[in-house]
Amino acid sequence: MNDLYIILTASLVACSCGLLGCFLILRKMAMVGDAISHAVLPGIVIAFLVSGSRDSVTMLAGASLIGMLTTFLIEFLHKKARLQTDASIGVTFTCLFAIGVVLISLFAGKVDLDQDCVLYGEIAYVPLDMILSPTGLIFGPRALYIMGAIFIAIVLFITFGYKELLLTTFDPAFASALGISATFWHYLLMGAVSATTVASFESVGAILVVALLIGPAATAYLLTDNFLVMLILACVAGVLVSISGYYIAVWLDGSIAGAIAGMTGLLFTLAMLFSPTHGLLFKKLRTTSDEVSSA
Amino acid sequence: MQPEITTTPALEVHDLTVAFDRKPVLWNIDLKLPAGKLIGIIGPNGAGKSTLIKATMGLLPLSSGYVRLYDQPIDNVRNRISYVPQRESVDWDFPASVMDVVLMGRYGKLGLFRRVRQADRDVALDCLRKVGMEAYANRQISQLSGGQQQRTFLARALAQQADIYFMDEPFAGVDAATEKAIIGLLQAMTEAQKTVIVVHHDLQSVTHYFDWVIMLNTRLVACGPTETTFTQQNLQETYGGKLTLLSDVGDLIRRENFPNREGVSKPVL
Ligand SMILES: Nc1ncnc2c1ncn2[C@@H]1O[C@H](COP(=O)(O)OP(=O)(O)OP(=O)(O)O)[C@@H](O)[C@H]1O
Ligand SMILES: [Mg+2]
Repeated sequence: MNDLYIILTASLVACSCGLLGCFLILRKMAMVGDAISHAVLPGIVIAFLVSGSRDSVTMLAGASLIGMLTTFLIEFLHKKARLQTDASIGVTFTCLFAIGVVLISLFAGKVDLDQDCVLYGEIAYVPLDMILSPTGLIFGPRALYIMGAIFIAIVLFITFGYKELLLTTFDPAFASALGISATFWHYLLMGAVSATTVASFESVGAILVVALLIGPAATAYLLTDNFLVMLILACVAGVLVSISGYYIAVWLDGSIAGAIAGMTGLLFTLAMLFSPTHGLLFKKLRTTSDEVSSA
Repeated sequence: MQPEITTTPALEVHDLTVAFDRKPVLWNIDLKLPAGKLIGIIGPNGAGKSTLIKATMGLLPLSSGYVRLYDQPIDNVRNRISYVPQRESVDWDFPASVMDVVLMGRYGKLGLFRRVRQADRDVALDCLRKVGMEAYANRQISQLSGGQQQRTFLARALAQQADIYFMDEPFAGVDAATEKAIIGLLQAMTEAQKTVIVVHHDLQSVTHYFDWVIMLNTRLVACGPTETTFTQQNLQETYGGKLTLLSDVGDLIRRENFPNREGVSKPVL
């Protein structure tokens, strides 16, 4: 049963991240996911200090706010200070992350948080934190419920905002001309990325969140030319790496998060080599067969 | 100096100034455009043609002035306007088909949360037919030539079924035959009282294509019916020293029947 809980939680994280990752990649903002997942740290610490609990709702709110602030700072540095996007991302998230680390060490006594937990998480502990009914009935792990809720929220968000998200991603100027605010949808999307990141970090850790935000989506991008199919493939890839990552970790007796991140990399490499449309191998085959036919 | 327009102007730009980093790139633009005309915007690179279009549609902050369409603020008439951005403004490696892109033209009419219906697909296909792209409906946009990408954008704009069209260099990279066909299409649209505003670089075809011209170089040089506005003097003022072949263009204009063959050296644009 514990296996199932862990795999299910990891899959939900992977699917949520994969769906959002598709938009990040196509908006050329893959690194923004990285930035937000690090920059939310001070938000989490401050929310913790203010509320005094690791209660998920407070944390989510605090971190989502910081996530938005990160997005805003990046835009601000890029537009007003005329810094390149990558430079403004680099400056913003390292600063915020550093503030978070300082806060943690300052309040080390009071805060039941440490960098290791934030960065690496520990998905193996998911089944330890169960939701119990007053009568002692076990409903399942807390993380599973949180990630389930996040996943459903993201699916609803994408289903109902599909046109708007697609258009503001492909052609923001045209979207604005139609009266669909590119800025509004940009911040909504970034809010979703922040919330997902925070909800996931406790169970899987920031590093795996970054891997899952980019890996499955990048894999899906290589495998299809259709946006809807790309979204679905990103989820499939997310589930695949979660299952395979878990069993490899069990087999090697290693870190589950590490194994999942590793599988993400492996799956991407396979897609890069063997994708029917973009794959290196098929391109190679095609050019050789062209040479043969033209010779 | 500008001829009076008796009916409600399709577009009125008043005292418009747009600046990037406090450097004005459009200065004091004042103009009124009648409805039902095919209107060209000409001017050298960096003259502010794209900026004028974007500012008119409210995509850029204005330093001063205002814009009214059909005597209303732009946000009231969003579903009556249509836009063809410069082709380079999007990533053509995006996972979408030609049909997907053309359908985006229907999004404004659909509104939030509504899905694309069969009727929208029919309109989109019809618009693809008009630009000669129906055979490419399911083609990936990454596999299109530059001219085909441009025609896809045109089809998307047509699918908006708007009253006023802003087109930023819609003919860049489009072959001569297609360009002629599309101009014919646009002219037919103006007969149905649609207003079409086109940024155009080929001075040789201006008199053939456009009812009106806007001549722009940071400031508005002139705006009015082509016969009276597209003059040697205004061209001189618009292109200044940059147009060394200006006298040739003047000659071209004066001669009614100027050469339009491929291979004839074009003016420096
Ligand atoms: N985002 C921007 N930031 C700063 N300056 C800009 C920006 N966009 C345009 N400009 C400046 O504004 C001026 C007008 O640009 P615009 O794109 O409107 O020219 P254009 O007439 O469309 O030229 P082209 O024929 O090359 O398309 C140029 O000098 C350009 O350098
Ligand atoms: Mg331009």
